[in-house]
Amino acid sequence: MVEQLTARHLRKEYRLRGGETLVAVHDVSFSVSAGDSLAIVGESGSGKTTCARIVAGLEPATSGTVLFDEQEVDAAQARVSARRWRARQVQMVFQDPYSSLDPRQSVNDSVSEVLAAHGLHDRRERAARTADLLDKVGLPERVGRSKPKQLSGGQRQRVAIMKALAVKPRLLILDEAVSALDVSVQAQVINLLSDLRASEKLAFLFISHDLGVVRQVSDRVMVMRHGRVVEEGSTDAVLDAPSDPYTQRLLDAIPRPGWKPVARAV
Amino acid sequence: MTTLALPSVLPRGARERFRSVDPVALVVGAVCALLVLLAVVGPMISGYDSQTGDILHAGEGPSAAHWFGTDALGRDIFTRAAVGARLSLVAPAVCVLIAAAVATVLALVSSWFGGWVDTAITRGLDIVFAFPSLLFALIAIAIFGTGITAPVIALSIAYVPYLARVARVTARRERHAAYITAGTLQGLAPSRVAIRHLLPSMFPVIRTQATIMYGSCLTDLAGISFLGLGVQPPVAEWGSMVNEGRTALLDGHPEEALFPGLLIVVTVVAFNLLAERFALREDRVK
Repeated sequence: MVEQLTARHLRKEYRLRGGETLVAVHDVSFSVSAGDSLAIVGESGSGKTTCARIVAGLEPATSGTVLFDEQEVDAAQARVSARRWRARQVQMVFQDPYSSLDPRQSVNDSVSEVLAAHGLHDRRERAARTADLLDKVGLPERVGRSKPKQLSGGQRQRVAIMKALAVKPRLLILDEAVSALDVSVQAQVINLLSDLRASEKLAFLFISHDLGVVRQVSDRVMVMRHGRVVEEGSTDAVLDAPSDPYTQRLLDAIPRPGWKPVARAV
Repeated sequence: MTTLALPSVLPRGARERFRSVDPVALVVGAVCALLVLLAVVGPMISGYDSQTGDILHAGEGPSAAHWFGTDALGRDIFTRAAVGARLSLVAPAVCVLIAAAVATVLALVSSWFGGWVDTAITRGLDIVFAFPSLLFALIAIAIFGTGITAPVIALSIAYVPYLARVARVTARRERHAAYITAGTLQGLAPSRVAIRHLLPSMFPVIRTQATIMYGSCLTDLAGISFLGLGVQPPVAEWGSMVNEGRTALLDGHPEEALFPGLLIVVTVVAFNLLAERFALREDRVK
């Protein structure tokens, strides 16, 4: 089976002030095959978002390689074709729906801009494709004419997903993409994502700290702590019978009926 | 029976129109329109020439023939104030436009590339910032001679750091916003993301700052002319009129100094109020 994404031996160091180095990610390897969904979970500072940013090309890794479709990413992305190729391999939906859209641009214009950058020059074709995308993410047509400030958080996140889908990517990185939404909207967006994954044959890389959400969207899960992978396996296996004490603690921290948080000593 | 609708149940557009009727903005708009009208049609309706005087009617107070009176050479003060408005209003506008254009480009380049480019630009701006704007203008006059061109260019340069600093802060904050990151990730050309998305984010603050700056630039240029280093007689300009009116002021004829002085005050206040309105609108887009 062809791996959609392969990350090998990723390592990321940050040079701190005073000459110290912080290693955010130690030797992390993972892969996502076509149509698969991998979740990376862990607490803040565990290195999960850094991994996602390296895969998306937003940050260079100190060492290690990222392959899409078993092809290495062109380090110098300056060339137009390389930039487009990369965009079609991987797209990302960000956590904060309030900052991920240009406040000055209507939804139609922003999608149209992306389509134009990928060689769709006919205005009418772009409009048709935009309408099609709006429909796909379950937004009414009038949303297309709106500016982001006129939309709710859930609608904005749908727009962000729709913009990501505009280039027909093979892999979608969801960086805490539903964490900022309230629970009922979160459920709708998760359903939308599951539907899209099936209809668009998308692979997901799902970054989250919310194990309840992870169970619904991903087949496999990788638990990270302090920049290292502590546990990896199928979602059910890891979440039902964790072998690592850290995973157990994460699971214990999920609020549920009858849940009593451990009282802290005063 | 009741047809009274509360603002809260009106459609969104109607409510926004309610809010946008702003008395201060109306007054400011009216004042600005009057100033422009004075500059454009004032000299035509007065029927006098701004530079030739009638010595037999020198130093007269306001009358039906001479609304603002006449100066020591018998020239009509209203005509001179109206002709002077052209120079006094346009020169600071030119300054501010040049400064805003340069500042915007510097702020964009500095925030987009960051790193040493940012450091170099910021340091350069700090150096220019260290010179008072009037000193800059006086140095330029010392080198290029009196006239309006040298101080306009000097002040344009002197005002760049004020605008560039504010614009850079905004641009740096927006630079790392997800929509900018998403733009490059989606395969848009970096130049396009910088110009079409990052650049417009600076416009609201630049508009506010440039409007405030217009007032201070106007007083700076009037001050230079008042000192006799800017516009030279017999050309009319508000600052030089105040200077020429000093002697008459002591003789009990304040008109020549008073009217241009009042015009300067009114213009500066109007633009400061306008800037305040712009500042209130800065966050509206989000």
